[in-house]
Amino acid sequence: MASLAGGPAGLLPEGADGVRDRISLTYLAVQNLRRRPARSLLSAVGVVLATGTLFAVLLGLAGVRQSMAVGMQRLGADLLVVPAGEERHVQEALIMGTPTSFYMDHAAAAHVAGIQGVLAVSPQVYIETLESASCCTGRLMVVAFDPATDFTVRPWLGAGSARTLGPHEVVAGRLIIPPVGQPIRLYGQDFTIAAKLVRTGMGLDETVFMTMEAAYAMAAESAERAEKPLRLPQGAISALLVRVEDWVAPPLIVRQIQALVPGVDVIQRDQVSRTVVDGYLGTMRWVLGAAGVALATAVLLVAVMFFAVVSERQRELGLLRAMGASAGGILRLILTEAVLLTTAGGAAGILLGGGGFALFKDRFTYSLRVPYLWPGALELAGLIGGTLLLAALAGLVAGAVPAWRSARMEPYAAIRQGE
Amino acid sequence: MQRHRWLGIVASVAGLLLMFGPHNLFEICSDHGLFMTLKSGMQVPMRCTWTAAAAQGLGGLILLLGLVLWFSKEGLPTLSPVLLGAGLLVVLLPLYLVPTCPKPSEPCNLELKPALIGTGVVLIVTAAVALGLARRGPGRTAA
Repeated sequence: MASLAGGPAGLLPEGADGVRDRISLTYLAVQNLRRRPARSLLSAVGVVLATGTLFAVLLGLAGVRQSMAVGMQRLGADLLVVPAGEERHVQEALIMGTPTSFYMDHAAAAHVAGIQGVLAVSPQVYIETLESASCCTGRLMVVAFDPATDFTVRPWLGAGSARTLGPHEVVAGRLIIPPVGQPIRLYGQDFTIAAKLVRTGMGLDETVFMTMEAAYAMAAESAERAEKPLRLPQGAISALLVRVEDWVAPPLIVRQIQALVPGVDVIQRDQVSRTVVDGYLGTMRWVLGAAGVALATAVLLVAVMFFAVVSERQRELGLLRAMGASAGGILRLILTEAVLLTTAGGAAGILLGGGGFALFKDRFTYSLRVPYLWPGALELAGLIGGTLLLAALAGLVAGAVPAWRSARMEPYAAIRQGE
Repeated sequence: MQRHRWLGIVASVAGLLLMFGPHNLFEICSDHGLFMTLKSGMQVPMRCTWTAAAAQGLGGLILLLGLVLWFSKEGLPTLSPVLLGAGLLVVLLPLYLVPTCPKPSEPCNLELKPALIGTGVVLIVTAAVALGLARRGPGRTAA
């Protein structure tokens, strides 16, 4: 055994000759874990699985929230007024880009604009395109907006608010394949993509925006140009996007709209986000529960392992005590081993869980029908730090009783019992 | 079992998966039978076709290397880095070299891409471990 004279960072007091050849707690703990690699690995497996699952689920939640925050902020509206019964279709269109089309009387816009506390009202028309001959395009959602009142699309065009869309121009979501400047054909007519949205992770990524004038012209000419004509009632709208003043609570405006305009549903921005997040958590509830049970089981396994370790190493620990190591030093040694083991397991779990999530993210979000955008670096760091902390705490809990028992051992009795 | 045979098995299985997986185990595309129609009316293969073809080619090479490793203990220090590089190529294929469709809900992103990346990562990790052990010293034979 190497000389164990040590200062405050080591187990033993400084030697008489002043040699500071000390072995640190961490070094000893690592060496002890490496002595039985198979046992250490097996004990850590439970922690790896539990933390990996937990990390993947939380990463999913963070991304869903991020996507909803970016997407709804991009939309710019506090409220959406839609025909009664179409709330679900609108949410699916917003979140997953599922094309939909329905109409209501445009007179609703004037009623809503007259409500005190309403800052801006902009009508939109939703159009579902035909099946496309282009690669990977399928049916698209087209949204026609009113340039005079629009507050959603204009900010995306850049160059201040002076830039407007021409009659043969569109703004496309990030996942629409042709790049900016290239044509896209809708109902037999070619439109040039003037700009693209940043990625939102929501249905907006697969949506095309054009002016209402362009939409009505497209509908009028579709009878000759398209495989199937587009029937768009003149003056009809599909939804009203409403912005409210900062000093007004949106639910107040909702009640007034429902009183003034019969036959409509009003969707609040926060409501959409909450519905999606709650839906995700509801689905993941059982997974989180399983991860919790797995972690508790892993803590028990690690505790049992360390009981066995302490029993095996009685002689070694007794010798350390006899050579001057304090009871506190022995306690810290066992706890350090337990924390290192579970933290390493946690780190491996983060790698596996994060890697697995990254690999199957598209399938996962597509199956659950939730939007997704990778969380920011700070939030990701917080998630990783939190998971590692949880793993370390698990080690503290698992090693607490074995460490306490090892610290209580009398050196001579420990050496004799270990022989 | 000796180290070179472990890596040989992993490489051979990875190679077989890459050669025969596309079209059989994991779908490439559901849209218009892998072709797109241009404005002129001409049909051209979509790029996921080439992603799958490149993966199959790489798979053949990886399978060959795996078989060589199975029979040649001396090949381990030389072929481990080659397999590590091949694994990296497999990972980069659907991401940068011949990227799949931008639409996340297409089969190339739901099935082909995760399969390629997962296979590549397993190959990289196994080759890296084998290389590290080969540099350390002679392999042990299992009892």
